[in-house]
Amino acid sequence: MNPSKKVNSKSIRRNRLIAYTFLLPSIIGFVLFILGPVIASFLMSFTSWNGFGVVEFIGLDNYKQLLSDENFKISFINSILFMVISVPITLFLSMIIAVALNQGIRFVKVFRTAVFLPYVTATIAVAAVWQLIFNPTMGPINGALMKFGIEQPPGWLSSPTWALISVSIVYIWHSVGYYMILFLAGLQGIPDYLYEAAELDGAGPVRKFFNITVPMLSPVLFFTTIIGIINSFKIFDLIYVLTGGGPGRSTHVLVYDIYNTAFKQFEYGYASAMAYVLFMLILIISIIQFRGQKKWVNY
Amino acid sequence: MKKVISLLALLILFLGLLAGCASGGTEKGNAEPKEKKDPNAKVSLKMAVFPADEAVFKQGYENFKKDHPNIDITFETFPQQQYYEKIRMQLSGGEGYDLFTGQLDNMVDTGIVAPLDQYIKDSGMDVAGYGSMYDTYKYEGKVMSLPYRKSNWMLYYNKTLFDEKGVEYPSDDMTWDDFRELAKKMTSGSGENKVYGAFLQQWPQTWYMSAVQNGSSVIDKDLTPFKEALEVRINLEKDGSIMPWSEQVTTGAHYNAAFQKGNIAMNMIGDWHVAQLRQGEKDGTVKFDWDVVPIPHPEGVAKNTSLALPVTIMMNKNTKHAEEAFEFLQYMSGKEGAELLASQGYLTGYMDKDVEAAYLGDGTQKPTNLHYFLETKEYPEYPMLPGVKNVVVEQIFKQEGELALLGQKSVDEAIKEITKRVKGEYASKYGEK
Repeated sequence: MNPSKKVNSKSIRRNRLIAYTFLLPSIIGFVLFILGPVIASFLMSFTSWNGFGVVEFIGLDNYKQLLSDENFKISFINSILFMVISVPITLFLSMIIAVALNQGIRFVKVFRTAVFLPYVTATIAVAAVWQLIFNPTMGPINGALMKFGIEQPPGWLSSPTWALISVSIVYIWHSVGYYMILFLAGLQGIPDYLYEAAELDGAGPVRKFFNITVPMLSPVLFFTTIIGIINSFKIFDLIYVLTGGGPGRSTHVLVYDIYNTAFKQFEYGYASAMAYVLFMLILIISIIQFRGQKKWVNY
Repeated sequence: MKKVISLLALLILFLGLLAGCASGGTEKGNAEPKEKKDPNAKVSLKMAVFPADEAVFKQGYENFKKDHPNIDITFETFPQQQYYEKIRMQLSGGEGYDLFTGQLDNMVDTGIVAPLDQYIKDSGMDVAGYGSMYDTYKYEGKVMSLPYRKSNWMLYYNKTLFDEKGVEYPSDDMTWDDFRELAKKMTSGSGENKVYGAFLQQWPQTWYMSAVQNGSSVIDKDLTPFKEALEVRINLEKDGSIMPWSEQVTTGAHYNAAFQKGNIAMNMIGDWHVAQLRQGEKDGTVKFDWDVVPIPHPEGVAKNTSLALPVTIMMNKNTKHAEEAFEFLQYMSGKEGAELLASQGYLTGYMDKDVEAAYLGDGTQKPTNLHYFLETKEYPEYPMLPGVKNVVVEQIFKQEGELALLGQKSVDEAIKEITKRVKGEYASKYGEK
């Protein structure tokens, strides 16, 4: 498979040159705006720098400091918790909705649009509306709960125990549409004859779902799991608007902590170190997933 | 292998480029030789100002230009929440602001704030007008900025509500206990007809101020006085006299909108609220009579003891036109600027008889008892040191105080945790360097 096998013909080399020339603009963009900053922040993570003056090289001190940083520990745990709560539910819901909307029911397009709509709505607007919904005394959720006789409904965003769950609810609602589209695309790629053959063999709908739909969807499921986990670790905007990391530090997540450290406390080096720990965390989880995929993903 | 080497070469080249950009901006300018300049040569300056103050600075500049036709100043502003983030980013990139407004603690660690002592001496300006603040806010013995606003805290009250209930107006000599009683008396109704006795913005300052009035500081090693302070707010909420913290936070309640609605008897907030209420009257949103009295004080502390937080003008030490920049800094923070700012309702850093007269106006504008602002004895809201506001106040005090206010932690536990965190997250990094 090695393309650089010695085929020393001039035309091939010229072809390659042309190809690279066409690629050049995106390569330059990639190097300048992605690779460059990525490497720069990696180097920065070994320094102490506030944006001004001398960049002081301090070796692994930033990483050592992270080990005993309580804020970092709390945000690390919160990030993991958030991922554990939100990713499985998001994927489960979006898959169910995708399967439902893949049937030949009426107004299917209307429903698909409705489910996808939150995803294309600006996060700030979404957050503002949910803030009203979650209002502990005047919001509709607690209003309804109190009607049903629950005297002490949760304080949602204002309660340290519920805040992370509340944010997860908004996040799930917001991103279900996106994953649903991915699942829908996957569903439409499943050939009908598989179902027909199964029906002839007497399989019911449940059997068909678990023995045809799920295995055939497994590549999509694999992809969405990876993307879903990465996205959940990257949550920032919802937290920023909904809770600002509070109450207390109950919704302090990694990216929020990184933002705070870099842009409120101006410790760019330390924040870079945090960012790289987050990167390693995501990398490790992704590697484990890629290792595991052989066992359950059918291509 | 070849590929790896060429990739590495590219990388090194790129990093070199980056390093070149980064160091170029900050080093030049400083060492500029002081040659004799033509005093009439055109000079252009750039200044970053707080969004709320942009208009008055432009107005001040128009007056300033009459005497200094050769100095051209452009103003830039950013939303308050991202203000420091933005100007620091630009300043570190070499984008030169010659002057910028703000609070020193957010900027002093950059090392680009110019000490002003020499300029002040050379100009022979009178610094007596800045009062005690001139010395209180020195940084390592040097004057790094001059204040144009003081932001003292005051208690605003809705006279109409007090009249309706037949309760006597708050006095200028209330203790926090008196305040609690009065707020309780003024609270009534529920739902649409709810009247709250008081409103305290969801900032940590609003609960910790009584400790500061006693002379404590948020970075003290012993924070016991803050227990009592935190209890003041918890008791107010227990009485039902203020909006519950949880509701205030989730609705993003704001002192200005809340007070203007007319169902809050007393609102504790800074001097800038005068201008907001005057504006509200102009716009017809304030439909009640109002006035100010000094904030309550702890037992044994003199009346009208308040907290202040100066907003200042700083100069970039890398500016090419230091003299001209200082000229404007001096103008806006000194007497002439102060008169302009005061006439618009700002409590200015610089004070003398004329500025006071400008501040009080001709007495036709509300509030009637504006003079209380001029009589306050003030403590700094927090010490002007790097990290105090960003770490101690906005993280530690906010987060741990909130848990106590929500009833998740006892007051003792909260203050204990604050003490621990101030030591671990602030003192170990910023303190005693």
